[in-house]
Amino acid sequence: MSTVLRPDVGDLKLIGYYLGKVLLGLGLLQLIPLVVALALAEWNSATAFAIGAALAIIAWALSDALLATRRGLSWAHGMVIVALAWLIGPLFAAVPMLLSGRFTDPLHALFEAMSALTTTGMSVIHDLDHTPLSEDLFRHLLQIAGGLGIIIVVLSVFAAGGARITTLYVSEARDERVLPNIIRTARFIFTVASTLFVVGTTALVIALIATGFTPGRAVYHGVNLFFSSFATGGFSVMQSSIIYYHAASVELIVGLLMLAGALSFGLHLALWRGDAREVLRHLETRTLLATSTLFFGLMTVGLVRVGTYDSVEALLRKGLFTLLSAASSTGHQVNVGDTYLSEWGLLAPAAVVGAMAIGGMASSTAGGIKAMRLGLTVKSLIHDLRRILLPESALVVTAYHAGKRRVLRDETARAATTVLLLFVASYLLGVVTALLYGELDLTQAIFEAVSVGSNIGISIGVVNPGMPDGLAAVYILQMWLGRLEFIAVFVLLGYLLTLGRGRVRT
Amino acid sequence: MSARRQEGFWRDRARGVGYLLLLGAALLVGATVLAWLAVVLVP
Repeated sequence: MSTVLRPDVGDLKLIGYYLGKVLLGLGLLQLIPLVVALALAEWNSATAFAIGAALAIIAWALSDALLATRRGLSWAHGMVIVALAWLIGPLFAAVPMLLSGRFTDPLHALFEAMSALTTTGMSVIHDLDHTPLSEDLFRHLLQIAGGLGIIIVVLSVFAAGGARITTLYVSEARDERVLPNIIRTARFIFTVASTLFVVGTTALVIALIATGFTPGRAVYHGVNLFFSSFATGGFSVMQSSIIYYHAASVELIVGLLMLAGALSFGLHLALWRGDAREVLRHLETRTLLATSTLFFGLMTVGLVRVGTYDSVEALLRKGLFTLLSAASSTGHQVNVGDTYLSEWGLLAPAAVVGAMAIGGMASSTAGGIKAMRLGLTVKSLIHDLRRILLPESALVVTAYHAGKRRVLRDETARAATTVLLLFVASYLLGVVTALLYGELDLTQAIFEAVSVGSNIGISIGVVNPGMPDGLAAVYILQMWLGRLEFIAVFVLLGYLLTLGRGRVRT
Repeated sequence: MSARRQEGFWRDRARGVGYLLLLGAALLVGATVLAWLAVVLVP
């Protein structure tokens, strides 16, 4: 007999109450593109945003009126709320997208919304180059909101009580609190984002004007590019992504913003405090540096051997940018999707896949397995090897630096390895599903599945407006699992099971 | 905001952005060396 308590009405009310707050945030977010649409006389878009915002705000009002509760938030509640928020959020965000008429069907609108919020950046929109400005802005706003964490964004604004929010913050795959107090952590994240917004957008606007953009267009492209780059999202205003600009200056600034996005907020804090040594000593920095050097080395050898590029400049602008886009989990492209298949040989795309699988740093806006987990797994492997090789009586202690010197504990290593394996399982699910359709080769299937599963967004061309619904559904699942890093999803499943089988509270 | 707090406010931001630029520059130099080696050494 199960000993787990069956959730009662009070638990469900609590979950609904907090989900309502998330929907309020999404509703208010839609007011921004709504105002832009009204100002620019984009009436169809304005109608879509008005309906989308109204639905979300009504849902919040109902939950606030009917479900308000004083019950405390437990760890399991936090996990369930976050897992559901990342499902319900995209569902509500998909409403204005569906109403815009730019998607094949509701599933594709949901794909776009999930891709936006999870900062994946794959797009199935029709005719992106002629999308109304307000709709483009909405897609990019979703990326920055998702990158910073919709829960932390919404709850730090609307909810009181630090301890309660901490539970949700940790559940949202943000396991490292930057500062002791969660509100101060949220404030620091916003301060970093707003500082980089001012500096990054200004630099982009100047670079775009220098390439011939009018000031108005430069501001529009600059703002959207900042959102999608720092959020490591990867959406773009134009179908051709970053190639559209044909400007090394734009690529350089976007590259720096992607780097900033892939850096954990803990390391941002160290930089702000002038502690550059912390960045250099951190296990995560070292892991990312080692893997990026390895993958960039393999990529350049592959590209030069195949004869794709023969100059240092081309290797940097096409190769390094792509690697940075992959390792930061952004997904901005400086190549047409087919290029990876037809001109890059096999070694260079394999290096991109490797970088995509690892992704960026934990507690950043980036996705993927995360450098921290890989570093811990490698440390654990070395630890086990030393234990085998050294005499039985030897005391083997493995340490690493992450904020301070830490001793590697078995449960830490096991947790890292478990999530790493779950990511691999997610990639396999995507690969097998793509292959079942019988039209793709293995390179395409692996490349796209890893890109989606790690919330990257570099596409080899499989994701497009005409993709099969079954594949779109599996990719949506992969994006959701990847963003939550699995744990919250397992807790949700367990919670659903206890609804039917748990012990009734007495 | 007091003058001293304001001074710290801007100093922290400038330092954060400055270090990021340094990090980016270091990565670019390292990648340039790797790319050059590949062009020169790979047959």
